[in-house]
Amino acid sequence: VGIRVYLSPIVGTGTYANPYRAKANDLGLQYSGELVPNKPDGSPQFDCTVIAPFRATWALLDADATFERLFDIDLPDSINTWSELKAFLQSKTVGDIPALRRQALNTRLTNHGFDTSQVTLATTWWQVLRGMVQQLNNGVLPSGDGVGVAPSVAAL
Amino acid sequence: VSNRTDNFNRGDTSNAIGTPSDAGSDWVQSQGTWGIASNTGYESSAAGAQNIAQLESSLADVDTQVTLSLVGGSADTGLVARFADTSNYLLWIYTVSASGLRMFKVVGGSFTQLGSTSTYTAANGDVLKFTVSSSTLNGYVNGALKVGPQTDGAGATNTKHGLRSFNDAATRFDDFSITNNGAAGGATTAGILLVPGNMRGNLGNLSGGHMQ
Repeated sequence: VGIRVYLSPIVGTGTYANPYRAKANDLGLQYSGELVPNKPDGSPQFDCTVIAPFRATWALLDADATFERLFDIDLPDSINTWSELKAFLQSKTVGDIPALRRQALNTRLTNHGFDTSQVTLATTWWQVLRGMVQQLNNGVLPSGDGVGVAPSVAAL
Repeated sequence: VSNRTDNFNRGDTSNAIGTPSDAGSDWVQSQGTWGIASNTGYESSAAGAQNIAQLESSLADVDTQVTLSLVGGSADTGLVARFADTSNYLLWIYTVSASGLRMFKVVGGSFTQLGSTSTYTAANGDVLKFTVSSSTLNGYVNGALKVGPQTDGAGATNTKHGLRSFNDAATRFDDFSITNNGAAGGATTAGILLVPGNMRGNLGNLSGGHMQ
């Protein structure tokens, strides 16, 4: 099957005809849920959201440079289930990523407005992903989810 | 005020959707002109865009449901939840031109599409249900989950819910209800965009609690 983690850009202008949405929606994905927190004026708080597509959609995503693989090639394509993905992400730390790709990950996240200030070399990839989701969640939940986790880049 | 129901069984009118069958507070026509035709509700003007009629329930965590007794050829119609004003609310709608079902939040007048599916064509008698519970949103047709769970707390304390129509005087609504789903303060789920749906529950692990 294969599972990857991508960042999907948010597209749209906020009108009914062209609503803000994950660009992945426009690729014909049939069933989707997404986190798109808004600023008070209704515009998106982040310019991207996280998606976890199966292999069948990878070619579409890879053909569009605006979709970014979160963990680049360091996340193997052999992962087939969510449990395997979670276990793998929990088994790897930021320090396991080669320096250049670590810097690229840092740049990728900070360019999209994610706070990575608490990430260290010992931070697991799972914690990085959860930190991103929590930052997205904090934008869409009325009072956050009670967890102030923020991944960082100092060590990325 | 609590659970609300309306079977629309009352005299025809093109501009007074009136008092629901539960005899509670009247419908409020927030946008558009709403009436009764042959014991169903409808938006009679076929003009304007986001036409909304809503009822006060005093409940923010609810299941809202309606039967589309007649689906118009250009239907763009469904349920509105957690309505504050015409610039702030949630939508669960069927749209012929978009070939499917879509869930939106409207914040400050801006639309954000929270989820969609194109694998549905409405038929007369279909039942739309929109469940909003804390920050978890689910859209159903005939009891089958079509979009969700989505995570979004926009307007999470708003207690008005109702009907929505877009330039469509043909579609008829019947048997509308607002039911307390008793889930105030319930857990939230992560809403990472995913495909296909069988991973939904698992990705919930990403939300809430401390990092593990």
